[in-house]
Amino acid sequence: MAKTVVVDSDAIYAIYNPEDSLNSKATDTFQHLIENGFQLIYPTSVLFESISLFQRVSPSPEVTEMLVDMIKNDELLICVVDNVLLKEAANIFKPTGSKKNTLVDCSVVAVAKKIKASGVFAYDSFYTKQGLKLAEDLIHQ
Amino acid sequence: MIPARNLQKYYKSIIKDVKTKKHAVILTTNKNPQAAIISLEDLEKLNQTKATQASIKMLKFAIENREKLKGLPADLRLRADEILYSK
Repeated sequence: MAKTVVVDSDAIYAIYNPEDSLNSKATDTFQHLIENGFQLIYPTSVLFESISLFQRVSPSPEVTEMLVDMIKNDELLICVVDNVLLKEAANIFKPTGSKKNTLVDCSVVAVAKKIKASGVFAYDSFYTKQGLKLAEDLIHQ
Repeated sequence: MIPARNLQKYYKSIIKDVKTKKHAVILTTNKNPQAAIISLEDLEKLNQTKATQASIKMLKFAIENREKLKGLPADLRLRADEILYSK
């Protein structure tokens, strides 16, 4: 079984936004993950969120088009957030907790735990608090 | 290669062959190759290769389109929820 890393929206935003302070770091991490044979898993929740954001703000449709085409052509390893995973995410979610940690983030945790992923490609301490490793720590091991 | 019409008749031996010998069986109609039966192991490898190629494509896209994407707000990642969920 291949080593897997679940991708969070934050990583997608950082990779495709050259103005993001984490852009080069995210691009390097992405490259290292590929070189080290990690399979990247995209939860459906993350795809909905990130594609919607790029559709809203991007001056040109390239990123949105590319991601949508990759979904249509079955190129991405997608994990469907079904009823069971949604329930898991809801159990992790704290409505009275930090507004930064959304149900989508919780779905990433639920997916990562379900597939026993090596880590999460994200930039949020929320994931380490949930007992998951961040991708950049995986490649520096 | 076997004609697809023989599939139902020989499916047990075809599956055994694919599983043990790890080779693909190509199904034909009118002598033209149409589809293949491969082992689950090979399917896993195929999916992994596809996913790696997709990642390379995504990385290449990000690097090659830096100029085009330069108009995005620097704090997009931090304001994502606000942008997505406010009117």
